[in-house]
Amino acid sequence: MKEQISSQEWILLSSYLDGELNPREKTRVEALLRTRPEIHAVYQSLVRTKSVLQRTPRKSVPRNFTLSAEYSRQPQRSLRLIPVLRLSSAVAAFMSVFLVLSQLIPAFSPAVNRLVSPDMALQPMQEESAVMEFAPAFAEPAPIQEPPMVFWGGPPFVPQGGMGGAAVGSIPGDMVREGGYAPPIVIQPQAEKAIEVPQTLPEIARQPGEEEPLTGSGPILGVREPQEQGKILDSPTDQRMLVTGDAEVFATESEPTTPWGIPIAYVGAIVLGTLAAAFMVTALILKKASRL
Amino acid sequence: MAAHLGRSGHKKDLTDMDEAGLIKDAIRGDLDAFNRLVLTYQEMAFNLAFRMLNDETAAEDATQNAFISAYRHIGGFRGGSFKAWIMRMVTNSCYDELRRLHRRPTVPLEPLHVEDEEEIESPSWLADNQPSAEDEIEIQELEKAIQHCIAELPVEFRAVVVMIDVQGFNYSEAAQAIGHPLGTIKSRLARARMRLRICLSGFGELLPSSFRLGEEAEFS
Repeated sequence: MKEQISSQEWILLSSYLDGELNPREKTRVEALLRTRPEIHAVYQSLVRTKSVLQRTPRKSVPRNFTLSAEYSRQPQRSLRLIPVLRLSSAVAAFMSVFLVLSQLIPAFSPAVNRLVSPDMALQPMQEESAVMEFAPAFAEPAPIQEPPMVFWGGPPFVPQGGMGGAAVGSIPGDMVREGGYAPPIVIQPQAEKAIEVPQTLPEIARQPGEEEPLTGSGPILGVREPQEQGKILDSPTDQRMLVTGDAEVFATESEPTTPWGIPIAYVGAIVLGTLAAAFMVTALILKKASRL
Repeated sequence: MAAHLGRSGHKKDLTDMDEAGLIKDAIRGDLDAFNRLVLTYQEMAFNLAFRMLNDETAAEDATQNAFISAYRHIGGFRGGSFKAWIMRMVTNSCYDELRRLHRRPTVPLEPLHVEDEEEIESPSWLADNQPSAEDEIEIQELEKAIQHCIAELPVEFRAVVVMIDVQGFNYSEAAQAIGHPLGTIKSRLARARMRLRICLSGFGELLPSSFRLGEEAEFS
């Protein structure tokens, strides 16, 4: 007699055999056993199968499995390291990712963050670089001490015609010698004449119909509005434009690099990433070893 | 220490209170207390390992490794059935052993017939010279049939059927020991029994008359 029995009915019969059904399921199975003879026959075979398995002879142990004292000393230092290594791995991986992001995304860059607060960041930059280099055009000129020019053994050259249109007489007579030792010639720098800058430029009389002259405050001349002055503008490159009163200068932020030209941040990210991987692998190996 | 506990192949019956006290002591690092627990469960553990692995040496290794692992991790025992917890260690150890055997298969030491190179199941040089009683033979045949049929099962079914039908665990203990929900245990057990029923019925006359199984129905 061959009948099809669903897997659900098999599970119900098997659980009924072990008394592991709830009352509702139990009632259902009992109804099946009463109404379907093939289910009853299967159930009987299941009972016998279980009886056979219960008769399985027990094997006696070949030896005792008690542990010796050496195992009691082992509760292992290495196991305590596993969580530490995992945490270190996570921290190193996080720092590595942060370093990479700080290089790739401008918002993460500490240099940009510095510029957000002009009080904190702008002042030293103005003092240090751009303003010092480019602003002195209209500042009071500092007195420059020119060293005297000394020519050993005669003049550096003897004009042989040409002279670029310069008159022979314009060359100092002492510099023109013919052969022989010549004592050093010392030319003292001439004191520069102070250039007098008029406080007010004379007004130029405009003819009627002539256009209004440029005032010097528009973007065409590169001079920013007063409220824009002192701000640093972002530029597509690493250079950042520093706006001063009259000139725009680029303050270049040079990143620290290794002797091979690789940015230190990338090297740090690689080192941290390697450390993270090494810690993780060590933790896995220790865990695997502890299970044996 | 372990030496004075003596060799025992029998389960030492402990009351629940005794067991709880021994577990507490073992968690504090008392090896003697842990070894008393080992003596209580070693036979059950070895039998489970043997039925799962179908190899006595491998079962021995798996049982020993399971107890070592249990001692190392006993601090992680969070109450419940200690028997189920220990059997989980044994099951995991058996899975590890099966993986190891799968990676490095071993060759049996049984000799081969010279002519047809077939294995001799009971070589004369290993045979026990003592005459066996008839019932002993019957038990051996029964065990051989059962072991053969259990070994034919998928490994995840073996643990369930051995724990519940051979060792007498209830479903929740088996679920705890195997680490799967109750529904999975029920399903696996039903499928395992279905296969065993078919397999054992193939042995027919080898089984004792009261256990011979007929063929009544087919699983769909």
